[in-house]
Amino acid sequence: MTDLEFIGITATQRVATEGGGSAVTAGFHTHTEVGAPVGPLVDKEFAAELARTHEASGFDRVLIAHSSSMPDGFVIADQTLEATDTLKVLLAHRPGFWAPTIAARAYATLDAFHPGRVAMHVITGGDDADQQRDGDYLTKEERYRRTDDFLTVVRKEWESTTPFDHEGEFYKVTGAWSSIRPEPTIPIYFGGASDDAIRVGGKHADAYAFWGEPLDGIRQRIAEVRAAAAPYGRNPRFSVSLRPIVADTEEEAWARAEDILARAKAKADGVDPGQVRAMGQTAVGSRRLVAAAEESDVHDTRLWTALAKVTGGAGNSTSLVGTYEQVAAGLLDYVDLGVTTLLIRGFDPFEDAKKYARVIDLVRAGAHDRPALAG
Amino acid sequence: MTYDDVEILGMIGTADASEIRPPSGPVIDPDYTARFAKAHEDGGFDRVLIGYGSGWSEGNQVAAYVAGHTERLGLLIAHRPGVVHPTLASRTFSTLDQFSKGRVALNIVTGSSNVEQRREGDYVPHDERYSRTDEYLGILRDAWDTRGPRDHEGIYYRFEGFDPQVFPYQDRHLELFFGGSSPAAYVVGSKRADTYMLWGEPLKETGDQIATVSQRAAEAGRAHRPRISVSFRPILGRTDAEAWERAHGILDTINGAVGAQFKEKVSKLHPQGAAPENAGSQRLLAVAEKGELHDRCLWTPTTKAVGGGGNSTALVGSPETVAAAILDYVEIGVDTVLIRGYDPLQDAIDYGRDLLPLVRQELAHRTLTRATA
Repeated sequence: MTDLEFIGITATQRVATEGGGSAVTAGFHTHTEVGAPVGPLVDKEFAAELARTHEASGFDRVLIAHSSSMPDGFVIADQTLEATDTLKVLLAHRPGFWAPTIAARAYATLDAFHPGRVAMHVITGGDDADQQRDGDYLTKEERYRRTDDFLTVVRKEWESTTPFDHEGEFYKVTGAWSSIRPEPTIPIYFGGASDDAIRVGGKHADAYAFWGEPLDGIRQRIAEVRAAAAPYGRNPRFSVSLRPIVADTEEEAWARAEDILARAKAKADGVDPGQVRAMGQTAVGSRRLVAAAEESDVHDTRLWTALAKVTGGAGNSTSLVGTYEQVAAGLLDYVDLGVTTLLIRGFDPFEDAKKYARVIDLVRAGAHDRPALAG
Repeated sequence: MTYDDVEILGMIGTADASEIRPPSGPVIDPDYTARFAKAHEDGGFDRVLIGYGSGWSEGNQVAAYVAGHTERLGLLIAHRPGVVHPTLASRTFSTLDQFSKGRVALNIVTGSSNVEQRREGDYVPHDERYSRTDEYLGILRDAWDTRGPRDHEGIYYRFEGFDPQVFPYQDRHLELFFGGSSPAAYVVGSKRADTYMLWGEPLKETGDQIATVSQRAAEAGRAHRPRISVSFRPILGRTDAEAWERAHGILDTINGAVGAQFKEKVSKLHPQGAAPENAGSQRLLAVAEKGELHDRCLWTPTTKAVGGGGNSTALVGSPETVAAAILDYVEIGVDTVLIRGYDPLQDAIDYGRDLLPLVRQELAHRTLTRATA
């Protein structure tokens, strides 16, 4: 029996989403395209309140994202875990900036202080410019080979009870050994849409994450990852990221979607495209979202992709739009394909996290007898 | 220096273990960690050191946890340049500093031995490691002190367009402590450090090191030398006689089965059997060779017993005697004292109750009665 998992997202800075909040931000710290950040970049009370809101809404976990200009995720993870009782974190990590041994121990140490509540989200980096801000000049193809090497060392550091040597293409260690070995181990989530990503993710991922493509795209991608994972005897779970727009009536929901689009368009010119790209984790993933958006604004029943055109497919930018029941049904369509993790985040951090409580309840109730969860 | 800005540091770990206390239970015990930190805060310590080792818990996570379980205690996180890219490291520490409202400082440890460095994939030789540290610390300071996108092209690091958005609390830079007693270390540390950390040698040898640091700092164009910190392992008793009895008991334990277990564990982190590679440990062993007892109450057999590894020289005596010994160091220019015990948690409590008030009282007295040096 696989449990359905809901993931939300943390932030460290308040955002004014109504009234004066018409500025479109690149969304690094606030994770919304339609509100202006207000107050300090690192607002401890806000971060704690947002985490507790997610916990109260029934989220299992929150994503802590990563970019070259953002506050550091490890610290936010600790703050999030301290502020809540059971909420877990999915802490994004870009291989290449920490030695794999110390990265492994950092995750293991965090997990030891907050047992069983930590997962690693591996992002290999889709944007060369943002990699270079932190001094990484490898090509994307090389980066995926490095991710492979990195995760190999990370696993050894977590699992080896005796000192080990490793000599890979990118990492070499002699006599590495850690006294901190997480049990049960720390799950590795993995994102990336290119062939290289699927090859490396198939080998290492416990959970493979997709952005919210139409159902056919997800079905195809699940098959590809399963094929890549099979030779390693792995059977990862699958995650889809979406930005649900819910309201009491379908008309209201669509009106809100149009309003979000208008506000995003209004300020899109003011945003540095490089910054927007930095939000994207893989170029291929972004292209797939844009391609879907160019085909049609609405896919399946209510997958709304118009925003992806404005943002260039930067990050998780497609929505299910409708009533609570309709959005829940839309999410269950993904569950039927074998998706058991749903990453949902809104456009107004607090209000949407609260609204999603009802969506989560409906999906859990509806998922009860789905075959995907029986395995 | 002035007497009233002397700082007193302690050190915490994540489990109840030392040379004389065999570990039992998990390597990371959250409750113990929190109690250990709280004991320092309640005892009036300014700051606690969180150590670094390739097989240990990762210090940033420990510091974040401790920050959440204390109110004002400063955090001194040991950090090795070379294992994390400096742009990212600058953000990690700035973020923690923001969440903890200005409580973070770093202790830059460039590396103790080649074997230990290679455990984390660092094959750069000793002196070159210090060159890398120099470049690394320049990048950290630049990331904290300046705004806007910047490029860097150095020997060890290159990046373009790095534009951090998070900075240390209240726009200061994070205080950089620095350890190392080799010629290469003196050059880089005297140039970059806010506080230079030494292990507990006798007054004369400590004075020699202070002179070297001062000279190198002047050569680097600094108007003032860094502050100086010295580390000790005080062994207190109600009377001097009681303290000495305890000291010999501790030495017996280190030389016995319990100590063997500790040395076995440490040998996983340092080259087995070989003399220590690091100049600091070599210096401590040289002092131990010269004699067991130095100055007022500096005692070295504990250093010899563990092969010189790290902060291992003791100050033995009643609280009055040890307080007087600490003041002896302040008189030769020491600004900060780091003390940790062989019975880590209980000693921290005892230091806070019996020793720190005497040291503070004497510092206050001298502030009033003596001209500042």
